[in-house]
Parts: sequence; structure tokens; C-alpha cells
Amino acid sequence: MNRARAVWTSPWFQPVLVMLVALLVGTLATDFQKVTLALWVIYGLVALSLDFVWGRAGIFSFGQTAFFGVAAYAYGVIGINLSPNTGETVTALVGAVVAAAALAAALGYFMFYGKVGDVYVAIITLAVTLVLLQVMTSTAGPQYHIGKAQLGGYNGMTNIPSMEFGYPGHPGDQMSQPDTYNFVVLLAGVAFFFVRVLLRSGFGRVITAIRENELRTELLGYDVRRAKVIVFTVGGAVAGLAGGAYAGWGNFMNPAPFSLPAAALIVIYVLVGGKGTLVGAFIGTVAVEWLSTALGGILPSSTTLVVGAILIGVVLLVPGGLTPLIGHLVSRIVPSPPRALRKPGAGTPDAGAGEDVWRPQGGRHDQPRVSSRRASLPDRSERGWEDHLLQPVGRPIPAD
Amino acid sequence: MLEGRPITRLLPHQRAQRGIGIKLQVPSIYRDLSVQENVWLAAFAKMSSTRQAEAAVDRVLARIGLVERAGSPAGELSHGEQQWLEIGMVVASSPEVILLDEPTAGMTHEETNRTVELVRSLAKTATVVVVEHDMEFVQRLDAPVTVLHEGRILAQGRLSEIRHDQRVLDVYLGRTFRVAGS
Amino acid sequence: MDQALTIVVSVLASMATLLLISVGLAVIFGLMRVINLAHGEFLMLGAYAVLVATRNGVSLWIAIPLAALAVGVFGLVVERLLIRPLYGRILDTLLATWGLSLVLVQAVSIAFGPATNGIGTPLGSVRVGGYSFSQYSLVLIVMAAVTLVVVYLLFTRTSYGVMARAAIQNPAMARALGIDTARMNMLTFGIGSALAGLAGALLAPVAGVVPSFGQAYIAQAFMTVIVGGPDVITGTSAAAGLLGGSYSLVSYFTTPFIGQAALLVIAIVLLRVLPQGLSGNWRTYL
Repeated sequence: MNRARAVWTSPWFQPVLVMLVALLVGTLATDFQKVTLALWVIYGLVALSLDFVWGRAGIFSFGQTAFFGVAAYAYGVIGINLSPNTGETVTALVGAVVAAAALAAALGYFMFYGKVGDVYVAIITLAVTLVLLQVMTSTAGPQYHIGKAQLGGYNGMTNIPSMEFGYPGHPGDQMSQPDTYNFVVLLAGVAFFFVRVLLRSGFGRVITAIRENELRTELLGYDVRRAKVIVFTVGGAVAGLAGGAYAGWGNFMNPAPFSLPAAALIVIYVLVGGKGTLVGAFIGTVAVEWLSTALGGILPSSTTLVVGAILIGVVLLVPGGLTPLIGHLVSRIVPSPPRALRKPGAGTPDAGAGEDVWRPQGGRHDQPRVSSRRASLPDRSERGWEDHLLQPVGRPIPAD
Repeated sequence: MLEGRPITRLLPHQRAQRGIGIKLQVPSIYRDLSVQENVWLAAFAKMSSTRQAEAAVDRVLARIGLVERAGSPAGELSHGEQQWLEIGMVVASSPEVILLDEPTAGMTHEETNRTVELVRSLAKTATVVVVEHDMEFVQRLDAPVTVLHEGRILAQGRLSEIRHDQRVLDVYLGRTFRVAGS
Repeated sequence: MDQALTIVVSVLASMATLLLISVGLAVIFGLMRVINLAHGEFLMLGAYAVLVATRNGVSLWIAIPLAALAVGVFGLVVERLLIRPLYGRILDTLLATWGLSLVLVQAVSIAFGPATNGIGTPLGSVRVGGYSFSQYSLVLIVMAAVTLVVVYLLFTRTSYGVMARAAIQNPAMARALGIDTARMNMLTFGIGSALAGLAGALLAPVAGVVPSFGQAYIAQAFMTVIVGGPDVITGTSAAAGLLGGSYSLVSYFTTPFIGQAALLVIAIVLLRVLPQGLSGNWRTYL
């Protein structure tokens, strides 16, 4: 069982698994469906970036869509201007990631070296997103252009080239939609792998420590500000990768992703999938999008209602999100060995493989310290989300 | 000043890097991480590789006597064990100066005894400054004592002398008192 | 002189509006520390309740208290189902009430259609010299004052008030004294909701009744409560007075947009100078 757990927590397994599942679904889907599916994967990648900075590092950023949007516009600008000459959009994609990462680094430096509190990080990132919305919406006139790329204001930038690699001998060979889907899946898998590798390193453990107790980590001698800026930049880069892919996927970009509902939706994806689980970002995105599409067919123009209901449902019933739920179901089917057979000295099942104790469990870390007044706390790491379900509803915990 | 360099203006993490290890009165550990990971984090802050840190962890755990509890979440430890863990975390970062603020607060008699041994062994490799109100603990440590009152040094010396110092007695028992010259 | 009178009425009406929309939130967020992002939608439900009642021939003056009652009952249900399981979990309460807000807005939009519905402003206007103001503004002012007094008395002079505050401040102790804290919290939340419904109902004739009714007010309500500080009645009224008055005066002499900006700036400055809110150092009960 420990062997299986070691594989599950290794950096490559989950990304490869997700990619294989996605590609399998791709073989079963029509070309038309692949267009939507590619979009879901792209959104999932943005959700991954949020789960990384929020679920793993504890930074609640409302700005991931801002980085996503900036990158998409960057891809458009570079693509429109350069790719007719170079026959490829790799530079555009790279440029998109760089633009997003640069914005994230600058914003991160300003916030974390300025020692602003968590609430203000949320407010500032939200403000940046909304300011970008205002700015990009008002670029409607023909005078608003970068090179040959018209910014297009509310209506957006059109004629963004699809992705093309510019193989010698195949200039201007743009990717078809089905190929775009596969490419996007590949991008997502690579980004996912990179994030997992980062989190397994020494740096990753420090990030977890910062999330658990920032002050203590600082007193141990870690430069917390620098660490947070690095995390934030990586998060921005991942969101930027999604943004570049988005522009290449849709050949179009407008200011809509900078809106509040768009930013909020990413948060919902992460929560539904399971905050901090990383793979939950993709699961949550697909679940919410699929449910909205399915129910939207029955009750037209009710997506907001569905999303709201999902949010309530998740918070009340499945606060850890879907991923722990799935894990629990799996463990019911695949029984774990009895306690006595586990490694001696490992106090909990999770402590066996060193990495697992670092895995946050659902909404636990959001609970303020006040919840530790409950007498039954110490067993927390042995109790999964299911114990939460079994607790009597309505036991009020004294609020601070 | 630490080793001749002023440290007042440094940021907290820089001070820690310079070699001051502080253990506050209330245990401040990562409750949801294991004992081992707590110590690892403290060690890694000063080392360049994860391997080095892991080796240091084993040494420290042996020194503070928490080897059997290495895998338990730190929040599950008894109060005394949590205090030792935190001392262990201070030690793991190999400081030159260790400040311990009331390390025996809330400890049982046996735990206090063990702490005396621990502090004595720490003093072999670092300068240890202990702030304490428990006179018995101070006595067993058998080290030079400084009495502070309202931010000023009131008396210094061995505990046996201090115990008979009238000014110290007055302050300790709460009688009205003025430090000469203030 | 006449102009001065109309300005005074206008300023008082702004203060009254701000106070009305905030007092319910002051009870729920200020007193109970529950972050209810659906507060705007409670306002909206009050407005729609009035709409439904008046469409069925009920007089406006009866419809308004009925609407408050209806929203209060709705609040009881929400507390039982949504808020109670999440006490102490601040982020989860925030998210759940946000979800509720999304559901309510779209549910109402589906049920009533997204268009704005009007309820005529009753009572007409009063002419004073060369200026005029709406008599309904006077209604708002009076209602705000009355509501303030009633809520203050309710929480300080009745046995419910004492028990409710005890249940909030020290639930364990309150339970040890035999107070049913769960019931108290439910009632308190219900009262806060009813107050929100009342505000929405009172404002329905003035603003159009539309599903996004609440969105326009929720930011101001939160700001007023936060600026007001820990004394929920005295602090919130002071904040409503200050912010509402500033908004109104500035808007009168410039534009509403600049008025909004002024309100925001003053709120930020106040919070910077008095991070605990206006009533941070006041020694009143509530």
C-alpha cells in the first residue's frame, strides 16, 4: 500500500494520468466537442495556477484571470505582428508566459515586500483585474493598436493566429482544432508536472511552512517575502500559459476574462475540485463546466444559479472538494491494510510516505484557530472529510 | 550587537540567519506537521541541501529525546514535549546565541528536570540566555544570574549572593523600591 | 433659505437610506460577525415582496411591514440551513452566502424577468419656495430614526436582547446559564434579515425593482458597518451620517459620481486614521 501511495504522490504520476484520461476522452469525442473540451482544459490550467498559489501557498489571489488575460493579449499582439513573417507562434506563446510572469513578479514584489496583509492581497489583485477590465474595454478606437494588432476595446482583438510551430518546409501551417486539443492537454500536463516537482523540492516544503505559519517560518530564518514573490510569479506564468493557449485556441480575445464573475468562477473551480489538491483544479473545472452545460440545456440562462447552487452544495456537504471524495470512494473499494501492519512509529496513515503529511486536507486550513478549541482536535490528520459529514449538523463553534 | 555587528535594524529572518535562536514562551510550532518536519524546516533554513538537513534532524531528535515521536503531528505532543521540540528547532539552526523565554512554563516536575539537562548541554556549544521565574529551575542550572527590573540591571552574580541581596528581595516581594539614580 | 431646506432634506434622506440598508448588516455582520454576502439580495427580496403585495392590491403601507416579516422568516430558514452548520468557518460562510446570492439573483430573474419594475413613489412632492422635495424622503428619514431607536431598545432593554448578546459574546457561558444559543442566533439573524427586507421594501418605490437591486447597495452597506466600528448601533449610525451626508452634499454641488468617489475616499481615510472604526473607543453598549 505504501508503494501505491509513493507512486500516487510522485511528481509525474498524476500529470501523466490526467493527460492520458484527457487524451482518451479526446479519442471518443467529436471534433466539435474537442473545441469545448480544449477550453475546459485551458480553464483548468488557470484553476491550477490558483490552487498552487492559494491552496498550497496560502495566497488568495484574485488576479489569476488578470495574468491569463494579459498573456492572451500578448499572444495576440506578438502573433499578429510576428507570425506572418516567422511562420510560427512559439514566440507568441513564450512571450505570453513572460508577460504574465513579469506582471506577476512586479505585482508580487509590490505586495509582498510591502508586507501587505492577506486581505489586501485579495483586494489589490481584484483591483488590478478590474482596472484592466476598464482599460481594455475603453480601447475601442482605431488608434489603440500595438503594431498591426488592434486592441479592439469591448469587442476585442480578432484574427489572432492559431498555434503553429513553423516546421521548416511547412510555413504557416496552423494547428487544427483537434490538434489544438491535444496540444493544450500536453501543455497542461507539463505545467502540472512542473508545479508538482517544485512543490516536492525543499522550496516546496518551505512554501507549505509559510502557509501553515508564516511568522514562524520567518523567525526560522526564511525570507518569506522572496518565497512568496517566487510562488506568485510561477502562478502567474502558469496562468499566462493558459492565456496564450486560449488566444491561439479561439483566435480571439476580449476583456471579458477581466470581469469579476470570471475571476470568481476560477475560485469556484478550485473549491469544487478540492483546494490544495492540484489535480482537483482540473476535476473541479470539468465538473462545474459540465454541470453548467448539462443543466443549462434544461434551464436556459441559468448558469449563475447552477454555479451558486454548486458552491453552496460543496461548502456544506463536501468542504474538501471532490478530490478527497473520490479518494475516499476509491479507498472503500481498495481496502488499506490494518493499522498494525503499517510502519511502526508512523502515527497516521499519512505519515508513512514523507510527502503526504504536507498534503493539505480540504478546507481545514481555512478554519480559524478558534476551531482548535474543540476538544477532539488532535486527531485531525487521521480524520478525513467524511468525519466532518458524520458530525451533528448545527454544533455551533464559538466565533471569535 | 552580535559578533560585533549591529542587529537592531535587521529584519526578523535576517537576524535568524545571523545566528540568534529564539524560543518564545508559548510553543509556536507547526501543529499539523510531524515532529520530524518541524525540525527539518528549522535545519533547512541554515543549510544548503535537503540531505544535510535530514542528517541534522536525526542528530537533533536524539538530543531532545523525541526520536520515537518523530512521525507524530506536533500538535499531538504533550505540552512539555512541544517545548522540547521548539528548543530542538532552535538548536537545529545551529545558533551561536540561544534565547529561551520561560522554557519550563507549564512543565511537570520530571519535564523540568529533563529541561535542565538539555539546557546545560546546549550551553556547551552556544551562549544560552534563559529568562525564568521558576527559582528552583534557576538554582539547578547553576549559572550566572542577572536580575532585571523595569528594564535595568538590578543585580548580577551567583544565585546564592543574589538571594541575600536586599534590593532583589524587595523587588521580588513587591515592596516599593527605587533603583538608585533613577 | 428654501434651497437650504431642500438640501437638508436631501442630506438627511441620504443618511437615512445608508442607515436603513446598513442596520440589518450591522446586526448580522457587526454583532454576530457572520459575513453575509447575500445581504444585498435580502434587500432585493424585500423590494420584490412589496412588488408582489402591491400588485395584489395591498396598500403600500401594509406591504412594507409584510415584506420585512417575509424576509425575516426567510432569514430564519437561511440561518438554520446555511449559516448554522458553518459557524466559526469564516471563509466557508462567505462562500456559501456568495453562492446563495448567485442563486437568489438568478432565481428571481427567472421568476420575474430581468426587467426593472416600478412602484410609483407615493405622497408626491412638497414645494418650498422655488424648490421641491419628495415627501417620501421624509418617510425614509422618519423610518430610519424609528428603526434605529427600536433596534437599540430591542437589544439593550429586552430580555431577548440581553440573551442574544450573551449568546454572541460568550456562547459557552451563555449555554451554561441555560440560554438556547442556537435559537438566539437564529432569531438574531432573522431580525437582521427582517431589517434588510424592511430597507429594501422602503426603497422599492424610490429605486426600480430589479434582480440586481441589492448589488448597488451591498458595498456601501459593508463599508458603513466597517467604518462604524464595533458599536453596531451608535457606530453604524455615526458612519451612515458621516458617509451619507458627505455623499449627498458633494453630489448636490457636483455630480453623483464624484459624490461616490468622495464617499469612498472619506471611508478609506477614516479607516486609516481609526482602524477600529468610528466607535472603536466609544464606551456605549451597542
